[in-house]
Amino acid sequence: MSGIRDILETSVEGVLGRGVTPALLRDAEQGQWPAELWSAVEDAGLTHAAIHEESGGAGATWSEIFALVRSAGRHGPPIPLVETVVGGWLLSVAGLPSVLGPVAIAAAPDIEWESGGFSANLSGVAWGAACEHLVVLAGRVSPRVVLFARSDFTAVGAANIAGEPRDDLRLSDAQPTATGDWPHDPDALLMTGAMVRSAQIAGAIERVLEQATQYANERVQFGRPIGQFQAVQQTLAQLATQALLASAAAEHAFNTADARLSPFAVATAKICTSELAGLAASAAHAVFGAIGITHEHSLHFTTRRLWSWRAEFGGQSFWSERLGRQACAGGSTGLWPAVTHGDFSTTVTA
Amino acid sequence: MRVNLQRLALSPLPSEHDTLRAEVRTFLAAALATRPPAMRALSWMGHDAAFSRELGRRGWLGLTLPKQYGGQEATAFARYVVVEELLVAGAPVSAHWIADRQSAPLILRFGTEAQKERYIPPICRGESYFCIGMSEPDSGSDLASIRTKAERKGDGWVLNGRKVWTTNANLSHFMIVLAQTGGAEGDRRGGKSQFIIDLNLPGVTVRPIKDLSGMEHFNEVLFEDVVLDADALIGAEGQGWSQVMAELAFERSGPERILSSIALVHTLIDAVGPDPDSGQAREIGRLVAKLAALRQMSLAVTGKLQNGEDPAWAASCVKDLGTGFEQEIPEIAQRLFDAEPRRAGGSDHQAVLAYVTQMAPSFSLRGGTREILRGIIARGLGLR
Ligand SMILES: Cc1cc2nc3c(=O)[nH]c(=O)nc-3n(C[C@H](O)[C@H](O)[C@H](O)COP(=O)(O)OP(=O)(O)OC[C@H]3O[C@@H](n4cnc5c(N)ncnc54)[C@H](O)[C@@H]3O)c2cc1C
Repeated sequence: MSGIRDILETSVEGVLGRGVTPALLRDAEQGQWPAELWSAVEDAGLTHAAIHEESGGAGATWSEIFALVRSAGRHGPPIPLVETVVGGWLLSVAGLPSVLGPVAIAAAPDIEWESGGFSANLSGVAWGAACEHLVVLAGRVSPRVVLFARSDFTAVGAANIAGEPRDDLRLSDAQPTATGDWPHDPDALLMTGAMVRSAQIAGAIERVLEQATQYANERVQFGRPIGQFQAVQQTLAQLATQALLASAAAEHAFNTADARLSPFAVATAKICTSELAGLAASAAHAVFGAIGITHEHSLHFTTRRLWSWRAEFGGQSFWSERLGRQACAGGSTGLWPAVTHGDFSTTVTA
Repeated sequence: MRVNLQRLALSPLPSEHDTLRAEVRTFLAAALATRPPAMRALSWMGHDAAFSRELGRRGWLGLTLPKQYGGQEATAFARYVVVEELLVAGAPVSAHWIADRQSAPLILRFGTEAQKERYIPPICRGESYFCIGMSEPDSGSDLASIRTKAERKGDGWVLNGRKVWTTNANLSHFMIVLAQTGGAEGDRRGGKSQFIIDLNLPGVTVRPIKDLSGMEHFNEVLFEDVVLDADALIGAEGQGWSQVMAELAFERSGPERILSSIALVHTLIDAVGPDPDSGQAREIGRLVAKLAALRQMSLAVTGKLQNGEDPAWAASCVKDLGTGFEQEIPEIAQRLFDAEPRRAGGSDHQAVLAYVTQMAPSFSLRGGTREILRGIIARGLGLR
């Protein structure tokens, strides 16, 4: 489709394909920071994909970044690669210089901050303790991007079921390193977060599809590969359609985001991928049988991420209630114009 | 063994079609102003020859076909836009539906010059209607086992056999029949050919079959010593199987595989009203999201058609997911809002619910069953 998109995808596949091994994932869950992997990702320029070229980034658009994020979902690197990309984008759009090292991101819509000390409790922040910088999108009335260094806050460790850090951060009267006005939707971080998680889910579903298909061709029962049994084929066929749907929903959100983050497309992506995450994980485990639920096997690295990511940045119930209320408010005649226009807020009629 | 991961790159709908969409919408708003929801629910089963001719007059049929044969030489996306607008509005498109969707493209691809000149222009005018003669009493999913037979006689052919479930045979001028034309015993895919049959020929008998709701849309069609001219053969003798597979790709990928229950989505949203409880809002939000995402998939398959890529595998995926979605809608309607389906005397929502509930089982049968599609998808993954 586009040059940058392919370059980013090839590059991220190379780095993560080599670097993210089961052993590394196990060590990371024990709290070990994969410094080498982080350097490799940073050296390849992946963390700065969304940063404007003037600020030293790749200047990629969201549609170009889609494949990078989907690949990150396939491999599940235990580092805040995706969060750092989003953090870099927030800084860049707010006109702030880029930073090096892992970045954590957090939305604080209820904090209308203008200047002085910044106080907040931020919960469930991905790699909050391990990051070197924290980017907060604060406020609704006049939203601002606020940058902190790691020494500006304290962190209490917590983790999702994939063992990825989701820490609780406390800032009391913290002095920001830099701040800038946020010229767009105050919900941008929530939306971007949901959008990237949906692409990660799409990548993870592709991964379990590949793993399960390969296993079905290898595992022999009743004297033949289980992939020859129609029941198993039907399960894998459904998994394949789920992978396509997840990817389509996520990619569409990224494509529309080039012009403007679309609440409709993001909601669509997150609702669909969150549901598909559960279906796909269950189909993959069904195909693998008992071996798939052992700690020894690598399937769970992906399925536990699917079960975690679907609930982040608004899960199914949050986004579907939001979208559903808009659909009901618009009535039957508003529905199709909104679907074709990709937006409920401006109801266009012929 | 390598796994065959197939992806489906999205094809954004070119914005140049916005004007076309607006024109179609404006036309439909006026033309269908008085069409009740229960009629809109018929989706692509609503039949109105005058309406089809009007679409032809406006240049909205045969959109992708060459101008030389009455088409518009527009893109597959232009056709997609027109078709989805027609379906969402519940327009009566059944008369020309099959001819426009698959018969004309088939004739364009495999027909002789004389066949193209004879059959395609009236299809584009909305005057000539076709039906699909594949299934037989003993050959449904196992289409290769058909027994209808065409034998050479003089310059032409003699056709004998029986087709069944033929949608609109009772309302069409022509049927494109798949028949055995020799070939070795046990050669399941060889020895088949397609023929264009004028349904008025002597020896053709069409008998409508009532469906469970009492409607008559599909038929049994008997061929008894039907004498065919040489030019009834469409495409090459013996190539019927691959021609049929190409035809099925057109049949499996379009917006009609996600929109069959859209009339019920509409009445459901209005029945729930502008202030839903949170459970209702969530279900409706989920429905809208699935609709929007499936549409992107379906558009991606259209992109493949437009680029001349083989859409068969992806089309099977879209049809399997899309028909599943269509079938979910009456179930969701029951969960969200208490309404008894009514054939007569109820609200619009009750009438639409009655129709869609009864039609829903057919969504995953017509055009290839769910199980058969999943078999195709599994083979595409490299499973055997
Ligand atoms: C409303 C409607 C309109 C139609 N219109 C047309 C038309 O215009 N022209 C036309 O030619 N046909 C038409 N059909 C026929 C349609 O193509 C067939 O119904 C379909 O191909 C299935 O065939 P069958 O009904 O004989 O079922 P069968 O093939 O007998 O299948 C019955 C069940 O067995 C399953 N099954 C069969 N084989 C396998 C297998 N190998 N593995 C796993 N499961 C299997 C099927 O999936 C299904 O669940 C129409 C059907 C409907 C319902």
